[in-house]
Amino acid sequence: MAAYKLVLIRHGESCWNQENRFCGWFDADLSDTGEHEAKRGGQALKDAGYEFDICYTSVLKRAIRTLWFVLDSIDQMWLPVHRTWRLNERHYGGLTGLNKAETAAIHGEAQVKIWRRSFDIPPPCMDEGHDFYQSISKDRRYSDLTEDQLPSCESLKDTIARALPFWNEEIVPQIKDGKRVLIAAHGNSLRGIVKHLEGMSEEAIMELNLPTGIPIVYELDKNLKPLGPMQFLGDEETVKKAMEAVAAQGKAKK
Amino acid sequence: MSKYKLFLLRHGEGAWNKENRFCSWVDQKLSEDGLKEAQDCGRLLKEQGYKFDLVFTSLLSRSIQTAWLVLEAMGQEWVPVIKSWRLNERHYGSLIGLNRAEMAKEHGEEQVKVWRRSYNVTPPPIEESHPYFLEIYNDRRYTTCDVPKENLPRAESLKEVLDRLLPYWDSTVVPEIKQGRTVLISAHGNSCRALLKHLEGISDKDIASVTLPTGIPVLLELDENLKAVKPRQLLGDQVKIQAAIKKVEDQGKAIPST
Repeated sequence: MAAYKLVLIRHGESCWNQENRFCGWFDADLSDTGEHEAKRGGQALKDAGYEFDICYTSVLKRAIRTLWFVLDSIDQMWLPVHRTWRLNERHYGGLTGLNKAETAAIHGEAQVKIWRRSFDIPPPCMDEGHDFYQSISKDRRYSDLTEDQLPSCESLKDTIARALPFWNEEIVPQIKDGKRVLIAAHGNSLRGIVKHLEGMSEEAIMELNLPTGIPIVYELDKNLKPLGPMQFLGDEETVKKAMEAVAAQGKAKK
Repeated sequence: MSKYKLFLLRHGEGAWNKENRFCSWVDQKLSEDGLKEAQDCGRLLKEQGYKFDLVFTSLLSRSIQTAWLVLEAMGQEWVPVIKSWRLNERHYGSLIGLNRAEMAKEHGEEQVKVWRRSYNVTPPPIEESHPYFLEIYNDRRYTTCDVPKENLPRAESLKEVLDRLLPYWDSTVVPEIKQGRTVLISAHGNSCRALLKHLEGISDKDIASVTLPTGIPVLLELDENLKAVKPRQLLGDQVKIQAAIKKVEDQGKAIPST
């Protein structure tokens, strides 16, 4: 018998996903497809009658707007929402803004796969000369971060290391207090939570592609261990298609 | 000497505003026009270069939607949004859902004006038999308030709105402003009026003639004691603002017979 239920949702397609560019901390907006995915995800939660007590998201608009579409669909716009940089997408450092196919052509598919999918190898750092240094590192929303906290690049290991404290200190107590939690975030910050919940290996998490715009449901015991594998809300076809689409990114054009 | 800036915003048109019905605690979403008002407001605030640190809204969807659309237009979706019933629209009691124009025809423009614009006249309370009673009091959001559900209002005068708003203003909003945070309060006609009365020291009599247009940001400049140092500024095109004020004032009048 599940003590708790947790719902995660990874935001849908952003304008940069559409252009196949490394996004990371760049504050790209949802594309029309991404908006549609969010609404569809919200509809799936509405159809299944989900109620929440508290929501968490990042400080990036693609996740926040996804959450807003969902809350609108399920008529729970009044729920408290906590935004944190700790749920941000992985920081892709110097690769931010680069088209994935071109990067693969320059560095080779293997190197790209390592950077995107390895556990502890960070991409090159974003330095002061980078096109997006000012708009990201100097953005007002990060003004409270210390020098140690503000990343210039991250491996997946780094992303998880800054996401998990928030999970443990802020989210877990709410779950244990009986609050039904919804987290709208990004592929890699959510991978951090999933890896932790399921006790997955580094190799296993590298192979995992969370579908976008599809609510992911965990039933947890009183120690917050999942009672079974994650469940997706939505039709089988949609789920299958979404997972295949993400795996196809990063390949160089022949 | 102006030390702090505070922004108030009355949400735009909801479906019932269009029908001229007292909406109050019924949870309507914005109409198409209301969505547009919020977007326009956000664009204006963006053009004028304002940066918010914190947004407060009520628990009613229309004020939250407005806040979201404003933040979206400004690219400030990341700004924290805090919600409270204490910023809800005035509770209109048994008058909820009634059409203002028909009421004016039945009770006279003066009685409707008294109910709408007096300071301490409370409308008759909403009863369990009222068509919208369950929709309001069975709503889960009212089990999350800082008072038990049974202690929430059944009807309010403007004075009673301020009585439940002021403790929240003092304990939760003021400390943020005093830390130098630029705050937006996205709320309703009467919760905004109540707050204005307090900040500008408007008399019980004079508050009756204060009308806030919808979708127009109101800038208040406050001293270190959070009292207004100059008259409120309605931001944006002045012709548009005057038209918006007139639109709200006309809602109280009876439909002229043809």
